[in-house]
Amino acid sequence: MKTSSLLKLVLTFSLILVALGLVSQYLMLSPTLTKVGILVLIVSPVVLLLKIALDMMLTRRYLFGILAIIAVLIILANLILS
Amino acid sequence: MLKEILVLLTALAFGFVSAIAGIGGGSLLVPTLIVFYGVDVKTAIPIGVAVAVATSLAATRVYLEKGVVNVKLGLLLEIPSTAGAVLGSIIYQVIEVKILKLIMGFVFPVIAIYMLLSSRLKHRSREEDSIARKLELSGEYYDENLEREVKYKVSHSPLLIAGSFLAGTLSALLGIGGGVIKMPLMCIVGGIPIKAATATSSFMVGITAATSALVYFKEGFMEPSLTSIVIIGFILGATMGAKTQVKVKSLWIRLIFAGILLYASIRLILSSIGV
Repeated sequence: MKTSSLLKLVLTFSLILVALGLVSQYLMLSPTLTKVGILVLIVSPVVLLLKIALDMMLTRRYLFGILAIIAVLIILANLILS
Repeated sequence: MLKEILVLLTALAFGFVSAIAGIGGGSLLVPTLIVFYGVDVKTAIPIGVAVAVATSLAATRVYLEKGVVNVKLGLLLEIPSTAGAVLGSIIYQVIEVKILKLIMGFVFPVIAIYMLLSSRLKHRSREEDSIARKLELSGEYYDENLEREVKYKVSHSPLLIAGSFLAGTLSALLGIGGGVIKMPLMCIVGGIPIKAATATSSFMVGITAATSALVYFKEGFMEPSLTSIVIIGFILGATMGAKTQVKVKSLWIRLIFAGILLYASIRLILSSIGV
């Protein structure tokens, strides 16, 4: 699967969730769907990095694959340690 | 309810106009939310980073398809940028609101000046540096307007790395994308053509913004209702703007946007000193 197609899929999915969540909130339902939508959206760059890391490793550009993984690890470490 | 509708319309308008004029209207949202809608500073910043993630991803998808993004350069610069965002998100959690407003008051005028001058931005071809040569960072892309391949070399990598760190810190601290630093730096210092710099900067902005956005989400700083209204409004506006063939005087939009930013900056500075 192409990186841009994966990005389109994740982005569309998250925006649909955000929009549905917004509607459900105004119908006095739980804000969970909105939160899940926002979470999927802000996790998308990590998915993008992992896909790029995989592509880089498969094309033997190991250094850039490792750089992508380091970026993911920094994001996760910041999240866990905050 | 009225406030939410007005915020939605504002986000829609900013998304629409920024897509037509080709400027990052996301950085306008944070000061507008604070100054015109009375949104708390520490609520507006997480909204800003969430919008930065959404707009960056939407643009990056197109840029990746066209092959304009210099992924290798983006990955190299993303490490300091992400580290900067970590620092920014730590500062955000401990800094006083009035100091934050003061920083915003001084940084936003710089963004306003950039908005006015960005259309005149020209890249300068430079000699490739040793890091760029070793890592083979030079790139090429097909320019649809010129109808030919454009090849370029990357220069001053250490400066680009330092600038990316600063951009990451400001992104997390002020709720902006950070493209305002990365773009001119890549063009003027790094010798990268505007199209490749815009695409690579856009690719990086989403990742950097996600670093702080995830922390703000986890810590409960991200107000779901307002964040979703702004995201939906901005993305819808930008999509409509991109599809509209309306020709507008970009200079006027830039002047209006810069005016709003300058006004918001003055209000933020005055508010931080208790006036």
